[in-house]
Amino acid sequence: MKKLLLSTAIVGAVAFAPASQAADLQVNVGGFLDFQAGYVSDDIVGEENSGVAAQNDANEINFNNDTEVSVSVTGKADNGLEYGAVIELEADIANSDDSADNGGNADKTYLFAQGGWGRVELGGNTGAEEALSVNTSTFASATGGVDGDFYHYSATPASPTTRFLTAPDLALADAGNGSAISTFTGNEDATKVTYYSPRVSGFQAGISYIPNTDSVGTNYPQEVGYENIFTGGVNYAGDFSGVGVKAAVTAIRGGDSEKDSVQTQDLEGWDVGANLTYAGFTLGGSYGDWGDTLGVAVDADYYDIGLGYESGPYSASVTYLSSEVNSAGSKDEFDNLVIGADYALAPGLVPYAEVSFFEYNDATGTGVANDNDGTVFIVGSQLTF
Amino acid sequence: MKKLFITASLLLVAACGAIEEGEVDAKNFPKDHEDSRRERKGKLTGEDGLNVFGKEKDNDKSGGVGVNSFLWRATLDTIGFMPILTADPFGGVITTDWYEDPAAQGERFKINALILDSKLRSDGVKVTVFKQLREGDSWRDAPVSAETGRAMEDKILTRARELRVSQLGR
Repeated sequence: MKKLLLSTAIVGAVAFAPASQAADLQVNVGGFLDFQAGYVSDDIVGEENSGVAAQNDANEINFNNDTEVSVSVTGKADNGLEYGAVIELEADIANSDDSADNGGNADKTYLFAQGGWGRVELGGNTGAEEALSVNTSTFASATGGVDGDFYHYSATPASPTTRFLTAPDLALADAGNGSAISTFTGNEDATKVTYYSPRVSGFQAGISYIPNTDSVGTNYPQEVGYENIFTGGVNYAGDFSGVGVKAAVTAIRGGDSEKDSVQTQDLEGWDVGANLTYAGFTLGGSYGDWGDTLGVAVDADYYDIGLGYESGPYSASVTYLSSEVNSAGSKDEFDNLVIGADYALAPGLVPYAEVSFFEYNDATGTGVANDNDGTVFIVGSQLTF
Repeated sequence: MKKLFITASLLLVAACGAIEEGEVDAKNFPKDHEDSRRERKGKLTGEDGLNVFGKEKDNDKSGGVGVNSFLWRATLDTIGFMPILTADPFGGVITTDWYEDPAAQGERFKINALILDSKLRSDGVKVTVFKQLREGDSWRDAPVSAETGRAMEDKILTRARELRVSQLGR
């Protein structure tokens, strides 16, 4: 019944426009290459007896090179229907983010169709809740402030009950951001169907349906992952006498999955955020609550706040995130203060620098295995073409 | 759960064709924060990136002209009833010589038409009209209402759109 309605709706949306001659078909190739050099000074990486044996002799200096080549095909029919496909291929030599942020071969692959009625995306792309959300990442400089790349260089404490929220994201997007929740599985770009409404009086809404958070590309039915997830949100963008306002409310809700007769918890969460922009300055933040995702007796939430400044090719930002996973009184806390700046040397050529002061504070004790306190320095340059 | 799903799909179907205000633009759709960040900083290859197939939208410089070819052709068609003095396809400038309409003796006109862009835009052509009135043996400059220039621009734009539509139909 569900499947029938879904396919009818999709067919209805795409086929309502009568078949017409394709015109203005374009194929564009683009991509980016990001080179980063990072240095971490914390209690785990390169430290003996940190409780994370795998990091004892790790190098505190690390280079990262993230590369993607994307092909986009767009066409516009005479009746105004725009359609196409986007294929973002991963061109990394190897990638640790394969299982959660992107895939082995590609980051995003999807079909889209849009017109005056809105936009539909079918395939592997970010969900509506992440795309519509507003938080410090909406304006942060360099790698994204508290939503940035510091986690490529720092280490998560090893305690078996360790669960930290390290980014201003709800569960699915968090998975794609170096999640420090070891029990969560899922890919940010799991195959989904998304609909965005047009922006009407500043408001835009969107909704995504994901049958299985672990399902990416083509695969066979499997028992892992959260099932039947709905995500969505409403975003507002407007201007009031020179003050730009952006705000959003987003949420995720889904069924649990059962693996080997063991039920995992339902996936849920909501987030609200806003940004105010005036004379080049942007003040923004958000608050998110994971509901019972990590357990009925577990309260997990975060908030982030930041200030950014942009003037011509320069931009800088200071952002702060604080989160807590409270399991019956025992709290796993994470704090992060990130200062970053970048400069657009040419359109698409942006060198940047960022420093992040982070602290993981595990509830179960103050032993070295449970906490981590440190600083990450990142210098890099991104080329977008 | 089921109710939410049914509502969502009904909304989807109902929304088709109903909304006209606030179009979702191909370049301006919601994307994740990383992609938005990259987009804010621009691209080396320009707005559309490297085009490997197909014309860039409305950006037709084909036919050996440096400006929008529809506007160029349309301007020539519209003001071609007057003798053309100069026509520069790369700068996008067409000027005519003085022309006295046999039906309106004693006044003559000259037109400068500037095509400003390679895109077919409503402000992509600018027309200036000059008028002279005969006084005895010499001609004296006379004022021209701004509406004349605008009316010519509108005619050119209409013709340009006709040309574009007829080309797409092929």
